[in-house]
Amino acid sequence: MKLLTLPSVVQRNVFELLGFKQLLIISFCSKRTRYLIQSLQKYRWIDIKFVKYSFEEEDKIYVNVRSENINEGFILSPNTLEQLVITPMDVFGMGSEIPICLHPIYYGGRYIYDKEQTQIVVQGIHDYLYQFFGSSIDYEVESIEDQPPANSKKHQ
Amino acid sequence: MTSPASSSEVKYLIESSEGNTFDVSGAALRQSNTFNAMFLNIGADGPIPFTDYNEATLKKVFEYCEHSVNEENYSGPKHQDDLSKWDLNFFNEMDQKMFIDVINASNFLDIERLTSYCCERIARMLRGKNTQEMIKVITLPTAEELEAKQKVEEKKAAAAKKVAEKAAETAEKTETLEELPVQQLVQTTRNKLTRKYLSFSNE
Repeated sequence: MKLLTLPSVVQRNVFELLGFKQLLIISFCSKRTRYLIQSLQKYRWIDIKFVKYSFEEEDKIYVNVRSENINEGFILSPNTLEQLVITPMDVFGMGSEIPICLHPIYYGGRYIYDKEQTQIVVQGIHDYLYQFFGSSIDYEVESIEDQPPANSKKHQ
Repeated sequence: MTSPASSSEVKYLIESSEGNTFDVSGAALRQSNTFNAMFLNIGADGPIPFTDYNEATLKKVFEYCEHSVNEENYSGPKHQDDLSKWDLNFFNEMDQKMFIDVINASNFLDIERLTSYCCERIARMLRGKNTQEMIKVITLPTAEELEAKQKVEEKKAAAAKKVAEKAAETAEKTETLEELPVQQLVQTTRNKLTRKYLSFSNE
């Protein structure tokens, strides 16, 4: 299926049938798919109010994208004894050297990351989303700790 | 036979990229907004040329239109699970190349129902896939393939450079060879003239 060779009307219709999480995964495939999604689906992000990073207990991080019509997001879970092995994937444009991958069962909705590398992972995700949605959106950080994570200072 | 009449009995001749013509009913053709905009009111003298698409593709597209003539009016995208058995067979018996051709033709002819079902089918292929699987579905080259492709291109470029260098060397040699006989000819002529002059002056 050569998606990129299809007419842009068809591409737009296909993207419209997919949710934010699936579009995010397609955008990881190549620069071209990312630009394509950004240009064809821009109108969907226009009313996004904020992207919130919530640092919760047990090193779980919730990334929530909110608008009047959209309330989607994904969860970053640290590697556990059951999910010890992380086969790094090239997600959020971070390259395969950063220890983060899609959850083998909950594709799109959940990622597994190495909690020793939280700073790099969250910074990488934020940089990607910042580029993806643009600077007109509020990027918020919510933490159960007294102090927000060090990497939350950039792009606020 | 071609006619602007709105009767469903009216048949229109369609011309494919191969130059072949075949009949399609007016009722089926009217599902195409492109046809409606271009020919419905003014009619067509002779076959309607849809020559960007081959006969097999056009026949497939109009097979769908003929089938859905009696269905209720199109009311937006329908979920894949709601498709009839006929619809599912229609899509399943197509190979990927034909599927792409049908999408392109359906998009050009602006047949909303068929285009939206095709899009839903593609979306279904993409749902629940990770990045690597997604790359396979949309046939993007992977990092390894890109690297291999780059290596092949580098090798080709190096080979082309070698060929160019050889060609330049050969050209240089040829130029020298071409120059030599001229010089020799000049020298020989000069010698002959000198000899003639000498013999003439001796006489």
